[in-house]
Amino acid sequence: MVRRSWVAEDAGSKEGIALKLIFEISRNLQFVLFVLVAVLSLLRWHQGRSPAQAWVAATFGSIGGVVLVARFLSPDPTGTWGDTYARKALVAILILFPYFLFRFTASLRPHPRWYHRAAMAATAAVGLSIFLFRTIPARGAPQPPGWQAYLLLLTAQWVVLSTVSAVVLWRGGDGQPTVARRRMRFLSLGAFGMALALIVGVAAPGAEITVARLVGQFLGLLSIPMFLIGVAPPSALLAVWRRPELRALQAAERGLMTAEAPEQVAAAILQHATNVVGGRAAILVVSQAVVGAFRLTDDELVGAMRAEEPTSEGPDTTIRIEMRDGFLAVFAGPFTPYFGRDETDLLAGLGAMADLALERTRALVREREHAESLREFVAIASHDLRTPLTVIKGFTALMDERWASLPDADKKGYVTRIDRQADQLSRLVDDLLTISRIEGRALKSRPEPVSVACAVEDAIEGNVEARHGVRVDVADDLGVTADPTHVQRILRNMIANAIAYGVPPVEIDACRVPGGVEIRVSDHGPGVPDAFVPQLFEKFARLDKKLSTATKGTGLGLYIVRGLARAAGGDAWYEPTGSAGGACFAVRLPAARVEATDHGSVDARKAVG
Amino acid sequence: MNDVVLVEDDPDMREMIRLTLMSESSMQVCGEAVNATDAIDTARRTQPHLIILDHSIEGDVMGLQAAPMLKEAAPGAIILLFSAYDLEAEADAEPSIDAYLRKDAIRELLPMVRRLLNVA
Repeated sequence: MVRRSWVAEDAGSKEGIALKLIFEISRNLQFVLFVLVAVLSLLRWHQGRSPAQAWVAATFGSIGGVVLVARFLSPDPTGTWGDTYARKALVAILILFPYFLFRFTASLRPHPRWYHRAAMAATAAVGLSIFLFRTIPARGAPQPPGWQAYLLLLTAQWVVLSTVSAVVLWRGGDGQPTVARRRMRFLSLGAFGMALALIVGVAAPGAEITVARLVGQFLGLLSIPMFLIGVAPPSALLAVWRRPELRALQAAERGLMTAEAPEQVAAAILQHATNVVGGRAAILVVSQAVVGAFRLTDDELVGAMRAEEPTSEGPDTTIRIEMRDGFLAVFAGPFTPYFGRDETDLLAGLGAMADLALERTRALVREREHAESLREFVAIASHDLRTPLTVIKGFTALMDERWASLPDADKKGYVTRIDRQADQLSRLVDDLLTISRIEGRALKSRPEPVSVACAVEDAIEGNVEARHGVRVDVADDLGVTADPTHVQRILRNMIANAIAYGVPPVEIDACRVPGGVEIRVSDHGPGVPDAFVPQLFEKFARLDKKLSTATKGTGLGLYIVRGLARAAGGDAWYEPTGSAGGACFAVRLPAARVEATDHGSVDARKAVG
Repeated sequence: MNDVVLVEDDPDMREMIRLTLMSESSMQVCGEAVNATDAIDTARRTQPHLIILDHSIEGDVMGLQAAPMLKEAAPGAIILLFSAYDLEAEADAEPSIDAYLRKDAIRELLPMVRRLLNVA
């Protein structure tokens, strides 16, 4: 086919041959490139289906289809019915190219409605009126005035629609990240180039290969790589273009590495996150609180907090990167979803790093809190160890000095006091030892059936303050399988806890549940503040950790309760009580069969330890 | 005769301090309290020469916080913070506290009290 067109034309001079050669090469190249850009845009659409992708696929798919089909037609009209209609159909489809391009830009940034109507009407008019012509004049053949008018109309439709799209793309590129901006500029140039090529082509209708025709051909040829880069830029080009954004990301990463608080994480990333996708503003929300915002108004802050999914409302697209305990939202422009997809991925990467950094800040806080509790614990434990020791030392020194002169009754009284303080000391040392055994998994446990009623009775007996004001409702036939000393320890700690922190009367009840027995110790106090509940069973947990407050105790009681309960195959937890309003601590232990009312059969009075 | 008020919630420790002070004939314990409110009342009523104040006492107000109020109630009283906590720095920073002694140095209590009250 190619050769035939050569022969048909005058190939007299050497220049003529050279021109023809160049023309044919560029025509073939154009064909290959059009098909390539069509295939690539269809592939892109297949990979990520969005209205914008669909319009791009339609734009370049249609033109690719036209050049592909035209390849099988003879260079000049044969005049047959089929050939004529095929040519008319191709022109009609070709007309859709600028319209589809227009719809593509409109899918990103909507135009006024009348724009759409005018574009659709003009395209339909031009596309359909081709069928009014009986034949399509061959290149170089005389053109009737009607055909000339039609060509003018076609060119006007094409140029106007292409120019609108090109301007939208060019101007939209302002403020976009490098890749998006360049892609938009290339698409814009491509659209301009095609429009120019058409103008030149219409202006030079001759069959001979003139410089004007060549220029038109080149313009057309040049515009395709522009489209190609705009639609599917090669990765090498992307890597080069993306450098500024990558540098911004690296800067953000450096900031993240040293961030010690959520606010510092926000300061490190927000500006860069905004710039990476060419956004307008950004916000970082952690634990449902705004920890940082970049170029955001108060109204938008409220809106951002509500944003759930990335939405495109109005001119903005909210890109929301989810984190473990919050999200990063960037208010990006309308072009970001199509042109900034890779940048959005970069942003997601940055979000993941910020998430890690936030996790680290949380770990740092926990670590500091732990160090602080440890310091407090050491202070409290030293105090609690020193107090009984001081009394013991004091009374022994006193008796040593005044032994001869002291009445026996006084000596007896002093010894009682020494004994009491020694017990206190022994309990504290026991607590510390138990903790180290729980943590070292070296707890010695001799499980046996224990009557809950007996154990509760003994625990109350062992606590002077608990002897009055504790109500017990435990069936005699309830039993648990656990080390009796541990059961005592658990109950005594729970009772002591209720007396120290709650308001009487303290109530103890127990019930059988699948797999065990649950014992509850509840009081009528204010209950545990919600914020403190998760730490209740942690080591050194005390509601107020400052030495300057009146809350006493080492904060080990409930930790030991849970440790011992778990060692026995049970658990311990906190329940906010409904009716009484106070706190309720519950422990579950494996059930055992015990004789009803036979308290003597269970030796729960063993020494605690 | 020097009047002393004891603010201490542990009965054994209170007894211990009282016995320690009894060996000095020029001193008498004129009041005892286990919490800050009672301590301030007692101090206002008895206007003692010396208040021996524990930090970890009953109630919401601790010894360190009670000290300025005690000083206000009994401006002539010397306040000795006597605690098992390491509170030397805190005691130094609190102008109403005249001296601090850690409880395990109880043997030092009498010499220190003598010094504070200028008793030979």
